[in-house]
Amino acid sequence: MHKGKGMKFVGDSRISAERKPNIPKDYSEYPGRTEAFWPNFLLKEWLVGAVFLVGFLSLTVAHPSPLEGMADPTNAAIYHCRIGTSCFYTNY
Amino acid sequence: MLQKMYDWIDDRIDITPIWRDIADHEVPEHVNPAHHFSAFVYCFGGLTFFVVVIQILSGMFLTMYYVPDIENAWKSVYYLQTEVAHGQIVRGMHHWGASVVIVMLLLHTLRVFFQGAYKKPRELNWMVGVLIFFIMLGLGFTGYLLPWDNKAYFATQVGLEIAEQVPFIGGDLKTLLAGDPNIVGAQTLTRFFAIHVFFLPGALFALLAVHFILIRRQGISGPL
Ligand code: HEM
Repeated sequence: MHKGKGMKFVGDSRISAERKPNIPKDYSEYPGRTEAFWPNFLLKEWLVGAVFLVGFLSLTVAHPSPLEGMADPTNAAIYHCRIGTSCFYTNY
Repeated sequence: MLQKMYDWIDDRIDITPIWRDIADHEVPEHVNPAHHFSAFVYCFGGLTFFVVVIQILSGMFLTMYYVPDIENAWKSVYYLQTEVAHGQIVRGMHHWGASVVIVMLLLHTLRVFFQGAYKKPRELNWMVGVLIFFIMLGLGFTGYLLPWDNKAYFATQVGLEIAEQVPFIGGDLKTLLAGDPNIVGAQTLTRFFAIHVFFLPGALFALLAVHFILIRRQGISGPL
């Protein structure tokens, strides 16, 4: 692409007057450092998975999932609290 | 010993090509975080799948204790949460996983969107992805009712009223989901349970299979 001095634009926009197709090259156009999926890549991939799992389990251990009082169709009262106030969650 | 067992089976039914077909492919440089750290964005699809697996496994263990009727649903969850060994962890994984999977799914979708990876020839896989997204929303909505606590009950009522707003079929849709035009009750819970545990996971597996087969056929999109 022609950049800088002498570059032609469409009107005063920043769009170049020179048209070219917007299709990226296939990655076979970039030969070189590929890696076999099995087993090389997979052996490294589970490391990422293990780190993720540790983070996720820390979350579940630190924050037990909430359980309110049993459903009672006649008791919509607490849902008149303003959202964001803690009374939204204190129906034990 | 293992090798011998493998050979015995392979000798008869030639299983090597089946798994070789899945295992043998090259990971290109531009998607490999070992070469370019920024390639970690390509992990989001795999991590979404990882959380889906966590959901399936933890969900299978939850159904060992969960009772889908309005008398016992809440009690069974309470019991699981307070009495059963590691019950709190298993429910916690399913509860938090339900949110984390949506976060991962959105990150994955953002990666695909901003890289333009949905463009020809991958439009079909984008459409499959959109269907997967709706399935995941459905799983979240139906799963939320199952503990049968007050928050779940009223949230579901609101959700059903939203469904009712769908033009033309809204009323029927609500009745189909809730089992009654007006009552959120025993029928609603059993229907949501069946949808959450059988219907939607079945659809999800089929769509994920298509998603992955398309990725293998088309290869991952090229570098930017
Ligand atoms: C449970 C949900 C999903 C799972 C487990 C999943 C998994 C994957 C995986 C593992 C890949 C390989 C590349 C990568 O990891 O980034 C991929 C690619 C892709 N996904 Fe998903 N996906 C999900 C949802 C979606 C959604 C919601 C969309 C879009 C609306 C989508 C669109 C695509 C497209 C177009 C590709 C091909 C991208 C490329 O070739 O670069 N997926 N998906």
